[in-house]
Amino acid sequence: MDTLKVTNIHKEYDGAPLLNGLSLEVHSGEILCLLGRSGSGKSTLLRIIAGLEHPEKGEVVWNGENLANTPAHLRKFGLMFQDYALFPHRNVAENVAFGLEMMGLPKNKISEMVKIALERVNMGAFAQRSVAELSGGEQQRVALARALAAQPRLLMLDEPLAALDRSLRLELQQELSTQLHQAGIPVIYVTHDQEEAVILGDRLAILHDGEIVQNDAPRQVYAAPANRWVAEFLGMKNFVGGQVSSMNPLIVTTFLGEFEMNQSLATGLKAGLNVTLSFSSENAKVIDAIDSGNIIRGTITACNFRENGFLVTLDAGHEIAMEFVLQVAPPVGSPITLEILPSLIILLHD
Amino acid sequence: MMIKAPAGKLRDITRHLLWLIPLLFLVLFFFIPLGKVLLVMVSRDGSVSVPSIIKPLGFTIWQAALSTLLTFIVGVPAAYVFSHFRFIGKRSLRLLVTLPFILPTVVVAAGFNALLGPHGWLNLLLMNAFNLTSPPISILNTLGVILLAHVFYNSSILIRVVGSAWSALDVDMPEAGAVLGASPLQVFLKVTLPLLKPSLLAAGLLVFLFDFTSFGVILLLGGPAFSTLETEIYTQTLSMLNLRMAGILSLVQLACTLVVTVLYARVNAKRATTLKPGKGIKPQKPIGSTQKLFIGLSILFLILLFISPILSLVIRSIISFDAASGISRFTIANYTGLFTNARQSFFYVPPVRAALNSLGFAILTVALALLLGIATAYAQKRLPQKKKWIDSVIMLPLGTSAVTLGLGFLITFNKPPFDIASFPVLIPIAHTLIAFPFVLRSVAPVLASIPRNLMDAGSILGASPWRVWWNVEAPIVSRAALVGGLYAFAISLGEFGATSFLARPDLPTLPVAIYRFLSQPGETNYGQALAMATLLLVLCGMAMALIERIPLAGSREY
Repeated sequence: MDTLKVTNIHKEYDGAPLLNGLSLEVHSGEILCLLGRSGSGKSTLLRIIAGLEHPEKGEVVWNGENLANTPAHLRKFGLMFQDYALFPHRNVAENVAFGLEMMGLPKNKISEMVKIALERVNMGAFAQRSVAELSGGEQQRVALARALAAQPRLLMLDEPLAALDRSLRLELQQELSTQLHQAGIPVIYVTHDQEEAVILGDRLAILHDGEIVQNDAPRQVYAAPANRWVAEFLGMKNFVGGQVSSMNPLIVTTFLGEFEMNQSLATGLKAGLNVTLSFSSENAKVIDAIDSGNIIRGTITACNFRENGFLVTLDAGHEIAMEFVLQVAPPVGSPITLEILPSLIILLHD
Repeated sequence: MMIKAPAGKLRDITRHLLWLIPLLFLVLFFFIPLGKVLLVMVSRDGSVSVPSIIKPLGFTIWQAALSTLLTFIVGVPAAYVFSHFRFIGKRSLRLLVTLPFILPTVVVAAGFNALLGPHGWLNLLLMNAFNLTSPPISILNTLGVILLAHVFYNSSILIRVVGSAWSALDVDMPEAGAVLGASPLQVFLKVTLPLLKPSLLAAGLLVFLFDFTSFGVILLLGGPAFSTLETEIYTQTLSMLNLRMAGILSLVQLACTLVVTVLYARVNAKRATTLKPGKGIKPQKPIGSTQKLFIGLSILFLILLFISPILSLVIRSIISFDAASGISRFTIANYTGLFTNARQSFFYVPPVRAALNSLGFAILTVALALLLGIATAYAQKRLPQKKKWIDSVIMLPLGTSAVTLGLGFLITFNKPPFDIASFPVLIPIAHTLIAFPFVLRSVAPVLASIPRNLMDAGSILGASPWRVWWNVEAPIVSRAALVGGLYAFAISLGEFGATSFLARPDLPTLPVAIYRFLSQPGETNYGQALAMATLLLVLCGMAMALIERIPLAGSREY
């Protein structure tokens, strides 16, 4: 099993720290999705791993071997560029052949391998086309074929679907997932799209302020975001501060009342600790007013139609505005009471 | 049936009238003279031998190819340095290497003469130091100095064309190559070079064309031992009076330049499509001692190559040298001498007269070139479907050798009152043929870049069409016209090829006078030639400095 280990990478950009002691690991057969806002240094990290840029501090280690003195062309790592960087002076087949030519393989062997590589991405019929004639999706496939044909020990992809429109992106996500798992090598997949990261990633590494703030399976990341920033980045809403008032059952007291939580979230907590709750905006139940726990009361301030229901904004008092998707459209100005089941509440450690 | 409104019809007529101005000018002063040159082959007598065509043709190709090769050796590394690195004084160095582009050939020839000639700096220094009686360096009148001057002249083209293509190269390309396992050398050979190929080819063809049609450098530095097609046309016309031979040589010359120009146009059209803007190379400070040494040596070499002839010219013009005593001292006699008719001879014209002639011709050229250039730019804007066609016709005179043009004028305008003896305006007319494409190239893109809604906004705010033009379009266009005018001014001041055919003995221009003085013996003639060349250098340098200071829409730094 191959392992890439990156430790304590520091890199400045225009005098300001961009990567700030970043560390991560990725193994054979695993797709690690590196997720972060644009400008967070994701591409720079890939370039450092590829050997195109050098960190001020830190190590890139492949199976125990420090690559500090190995130049890019000897690392045998593949990198798929964001806009593919297909060579305009070479046709499709010649682009795919480039890496094989650099290995010094005989011509007939190269053309055989190019053919296989292009067939694998369903681009066999395009071998003699100019790359300028290809659509975005076709370019993406050729770039993948080019990267994989060179038989890299590790593959990095820099937002490979960002330039494509949504429907094509959804179609290619599945295809890409299959191709990448088939390759059986460690894969680092950079994206700023949470949805894409969840579909493709075996693991998510979330980059913020130059560090990996969370590194877990997608399910785990969504169930327990490491902090408020991660939760917001993942699209979570309706944050309310509170205090653990009971450990068993696990109850958190907030301005809005008491909320009972899943007992599984109790690890690492103790009574009296300050925490933040996030209420899922979906699946809240409208109920008649009964004075019990797990209840949010408020006044409707806005109601807008969405594809999955009505997005209702309510004023819950204490200057807290919340958003919920409901299947009914209550009139603006009317009071409303919602019941939130324990499974719909996420708990963040302050 | 639709009836056209009278106003529309009027606009139609003015559109075509605008287009007629440059067309008439070209027919009268370019196509007819060119046709006459071709006719002269059959209509005139004169001995013609194949070897006397083959020999200059062979040498022309040989020296042009060699010059182009050497220009690449100097220009490509320089283009690399300019496109990839940041260093102190980069702006000034770029200006310095661009300077030759606008320098008249006579100035360059005088510069190299002042540096390397028998009376030049290096020889004086060596003679003084080692007590020699004759100059130890005799590079003048050799192939070496021709090549040197051509490299000096044309490196700037390579640096501009290849440098800007290189800096616009998608940075991902070489990196994609490296990640796929290509070593730096392989990246250069398999990625960078193929991507730069169209620009290298375009620059190479342009440099070859300029070397092929080079006239002043060959005549002034090469001397009588070397004859290219250009100098041979000159000799056959003015010394041998064999117009038939001159006509045939012109035809050969035209055919060759046409082939190169067509190739250039093809390559250039292809070039535009291969570059992807926006992801270019960001110049970096050099890192490590190897890079620093390479950059340092490159800069030093460029400074030496580009400054030494220019500086030698200026300094040598204010130094007098006494061969007998070996003493040199500061003097302004070369400049004060320009104002006196020292020889009292009929054909002798004091240099100051030549300078005034040049200025007069240059002003006329500017006026004519502006009229034609601006009219053509408007015609192009009004008739966009004909733009490509107009463009290539107008660029034809640029690809034609100045000597052929001069010969054509000489044959065509041979009866009073429109012969060269009684109608000296032919000189600025010839200059205009070369200069007005530059006005067009400055004005047309700017005119095209003025958005339609800017004019509409003016109209809606209540301005009459005339006021809109005056307040909106005129200020924008006039800046571009100023740039074009300055180009025309500098081109006219320095033009030598055509002028050498057309200038009356008693009405020389500065370049012609410099040529005459340089080819006569004596320290005084030499000194005054250098003083005039310095004067020309200063005038052209000022024009260039002004051009660099005027920002234009659509122009790009690299």
